[in-house]
Amino acid sequence: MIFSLHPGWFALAAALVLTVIGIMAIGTASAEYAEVQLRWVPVSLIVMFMVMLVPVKQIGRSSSILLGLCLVLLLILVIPGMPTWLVPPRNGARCWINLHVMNFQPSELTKIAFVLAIAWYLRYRDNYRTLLGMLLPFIFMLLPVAMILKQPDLGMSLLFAPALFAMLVAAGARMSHLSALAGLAVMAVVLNIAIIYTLPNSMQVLKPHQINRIKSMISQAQGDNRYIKDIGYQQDKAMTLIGAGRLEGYGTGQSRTIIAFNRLPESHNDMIFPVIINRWGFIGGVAVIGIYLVFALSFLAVALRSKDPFSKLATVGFAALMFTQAVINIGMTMGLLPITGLTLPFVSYGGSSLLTSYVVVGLVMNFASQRPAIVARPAFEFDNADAIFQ
Amino acid sequence: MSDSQQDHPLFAQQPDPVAASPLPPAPESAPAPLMETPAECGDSDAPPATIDFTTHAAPQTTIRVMTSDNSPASTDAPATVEAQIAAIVGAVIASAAAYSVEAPATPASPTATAETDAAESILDAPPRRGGRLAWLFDGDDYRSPTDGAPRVLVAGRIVMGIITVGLLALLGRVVELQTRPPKPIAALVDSQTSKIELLGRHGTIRDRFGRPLAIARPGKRLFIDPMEIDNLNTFPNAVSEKLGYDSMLVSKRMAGRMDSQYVVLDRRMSDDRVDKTRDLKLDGLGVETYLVRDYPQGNLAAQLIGFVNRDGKGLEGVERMFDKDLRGRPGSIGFLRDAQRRPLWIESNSYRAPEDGSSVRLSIDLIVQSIAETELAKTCKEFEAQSGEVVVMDPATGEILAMASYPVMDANNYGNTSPELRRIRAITDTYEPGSTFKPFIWAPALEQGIIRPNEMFDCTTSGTYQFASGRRLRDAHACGLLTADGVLIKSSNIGMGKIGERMGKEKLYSAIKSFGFGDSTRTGLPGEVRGRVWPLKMWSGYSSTSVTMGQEVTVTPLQIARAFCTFANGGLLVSPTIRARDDSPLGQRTPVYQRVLQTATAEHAREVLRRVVTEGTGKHADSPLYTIFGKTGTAQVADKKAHGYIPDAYTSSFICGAPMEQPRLVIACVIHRPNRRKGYFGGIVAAPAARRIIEQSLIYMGVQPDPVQPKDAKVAMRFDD
Repeated sequence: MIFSLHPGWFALAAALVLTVIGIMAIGTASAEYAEVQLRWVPVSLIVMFMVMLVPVKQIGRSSSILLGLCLVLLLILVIPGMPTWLVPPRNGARCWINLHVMNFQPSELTKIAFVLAIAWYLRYRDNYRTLLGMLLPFIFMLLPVAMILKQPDLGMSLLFAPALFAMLVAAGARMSHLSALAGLAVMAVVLNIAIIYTLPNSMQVLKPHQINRIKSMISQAQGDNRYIKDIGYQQDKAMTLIGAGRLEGYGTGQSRTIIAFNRLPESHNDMIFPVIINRWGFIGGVAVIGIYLVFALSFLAVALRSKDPFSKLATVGFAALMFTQAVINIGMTMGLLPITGLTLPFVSYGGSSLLTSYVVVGLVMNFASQRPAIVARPAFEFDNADAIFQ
Repeated sequence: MSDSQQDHPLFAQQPDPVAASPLPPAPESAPAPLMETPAECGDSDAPPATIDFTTHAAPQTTIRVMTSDNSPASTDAPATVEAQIAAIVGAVIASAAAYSVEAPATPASPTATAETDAAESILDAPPRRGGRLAWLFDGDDYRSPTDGAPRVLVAGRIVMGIITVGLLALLGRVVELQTRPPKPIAALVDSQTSKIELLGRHGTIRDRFGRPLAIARPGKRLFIDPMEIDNLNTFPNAVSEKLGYDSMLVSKRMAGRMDSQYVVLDRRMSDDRVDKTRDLKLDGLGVETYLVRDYPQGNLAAQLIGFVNRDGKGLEGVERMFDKDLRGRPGSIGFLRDAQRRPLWIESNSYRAPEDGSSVRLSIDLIVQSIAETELAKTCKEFEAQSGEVVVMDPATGEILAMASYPVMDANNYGNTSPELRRIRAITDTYEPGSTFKPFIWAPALEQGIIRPNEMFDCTTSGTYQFASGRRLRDAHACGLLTADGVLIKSSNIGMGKIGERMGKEKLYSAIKSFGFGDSTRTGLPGEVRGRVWPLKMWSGYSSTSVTMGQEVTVTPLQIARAFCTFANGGLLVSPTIRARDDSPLGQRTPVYQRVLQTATAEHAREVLRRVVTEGTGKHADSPLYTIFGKTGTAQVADKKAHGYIPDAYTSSFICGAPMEQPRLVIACVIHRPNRRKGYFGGIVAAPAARRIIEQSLIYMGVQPDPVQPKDAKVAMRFDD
């Protein structure tokens, strides 16, 4: 049953190819990290296999408990005065819990638990067909998002809204409500930028470094390279690597030297995409982005096949999650989005990130391999919606 | 089974939304056939549901996907899975195409989207009203009663579209960064993988003994990168304070070029300024090394050498003439740089070595040139002359040893010189030669037996004579009876006129042409002119008397010097050259000779010309050291606009050679428009200068002075004047 043929295998294949590309790219950027990353691959695959074995119903039932646990872990990070042996601050952010075998990032687990819990919550419901009902999960979403923002980890917190949005679309929330919400989100972004540029420092919502990143990105896009030496340095270096990448790249040896002398910070981690472009050129970029496309589409194909509403919603949510993460990461390396410190799934260095990504693949594989129930209650058909709505 | 399929709404005719819109179907009409199917709804034996991606307005894009939802048998069929994925990808494209087609047509009548599938609803509620965006996600037309999740399909389509567009946008950005990167990034990318042109060094121009006249050396250029400047307000002052540039100049140069990254402030930095700039470490200032053309001899032979523009192209003089030889071929090198712009390595196969230009050795002798220029300037200043030229030639080889012009120009600052100053006037400017032209009529007449050396000519005691043509000529001093030799020695216009008349136009013309007048000397120097000798048919009755005394013809100083070489080298017209003979290409190593006079005639003419110096008009050229032979000339300056001559404007010239026995030098010294009150006769103005040039040059060349005649013993020691 687990090994039956289904679109989930495409996702797994895509994930494995991305992992191999990632390890090679990390090896190009800094060889010593590649070995560490390589050790995480079997661990991730074993965990994925374990996840595949858990019955779907059980996953669904325990999802809310898991989310609760995650929120507690997030709270540990946020509470001031936690000992540094437990919560080691890194780059001024308190995102990790030191488990001594590894640094565990609760926000990674939270995003999975969130998607599962929301899917479980929405599965046979129809109150999200009303405006208030639809807003409820969004309001609930603010809880983990606020705690993650407090760490601060802007990138991670950005993933929740698109995932929830996609799940609501899939579940059949009203398009008018969703578009209104999307419009609100756009307005919030615009308002935020307006605040950054007009209000004095004391009245800012975002952290100073976040403000500077946004400012630097915008000014860089306008051709002003004032920030190149400080705030925009990383983005500038990344864009240089990409711009120099040519069609077929430079190969490992040359690329290693270019990257070493380019001095791109975090080149093995968040900034792995420029390394790929520099190493394999535009062709490499096409390959990586194409594989992400295969990955996301095979998730959607799983959702399409699945009869179980919980599986459907969770899979769509995961697709949105992974896609958003990849787009934000790649976009920030090319000056399209501000730097947010988000990993490129499967590719970037980091055991926590790799493990989480494979857990997601495992869950989707699990959903995909479920034999559909013989008598399934149709979900998300709301032809009586008007009655509910009125 | 087949019956139910027949009734299946999917197999029914697709409703045309446009046609349907005026007549919304009654809710009762559609559900009627559907009411029969619910029985099969939950049945596991239901046929494989057919999901149709057909969209309203684009039936040709129909893609039918067999889903295996309710069919356990097909779950493991790989073909189905692949088909599914293919269908999904296809659907993205199809739906994207369909949306764009549909968009204007479908929302026209929201109520028209018939609710055909009310039957499948669990609650069996009345058909719902379509929303404004119902067309986007309803998919009513293809909803199957057995299909549980069309909404996921529609939502999936949208999400797939977003994902595809999003990822394609990212790829687009990669393309943009690689092909049209933003300016500052482009600069960095360029600096990271760059192809740099390596300049070939310009060849050196040397004089005949290898002394450098024009060299290429690495120079320093100071430029400003306004983008890098920290404080624009204090920058100009900082530069002027520390480096001594005018702060106004700095501001002016930068004005309006703030987005440029390269504003040149100083093209030729002095070495101490380079050091100071390095010590200053001011952001926004840059020093760049490039090749500059330097003329180490300053103004010496400046017009002759010419100059190059900023790109190294020769614009004037020898620089232009030998541009092809002198200019190197640029090479290129592609290499990578690190973030600090330090070169990392050279790209393989990307190095093309630049080729330096070959150097050119001129026939010019720098010392002779210097002597000629000094004496010319001295004379021109003494007689307040407008301008002057000196040509010094080796009569045996035709090599030009010096070619001086006054006034001089500054080769290192050619931008500030007027175009008139830049000309090599010894070849570009013509003048009427006057009496210096007489030997070139007189010698052929002698050669052809038209006159004999001792034949007497009546040059009248009154000093005037009217010819048959009606032309009345005057001599400066009445000469009376003269031998043919005497006519030349005393430079009698009347005597020459008589000789000319006797020769006739044809012989005069061929004599003039045989000395190369009216033709280019073919040195190859840019701007060389031919001078003017009227064609025979344009000669008037006066012409045969005029040309004998150097009127109606114009010559360049080089032409007349070259023609004079025939007297010095035994009657051969030599081809002049500016390049050293032993440095020339094979065909030009030896001069081209044309025999113009018999050796005996040339030697006799030389003796007569010697007597011009010792007893005739050129006494001021008589040297105690060397036996100089020559001819003076004082010509009126022809008015180019009006016909006739400018009053009180003279060209004083003297052409000569030395020493008598083995002539080593021929000099043409031409002084234009000296101040009449200071003197204007060629013998007074030009002759002393020519003598001094000859004396100094021959001493420098190590030529043994001629045996001193007893009567000159006293002045033999006069080296000074």
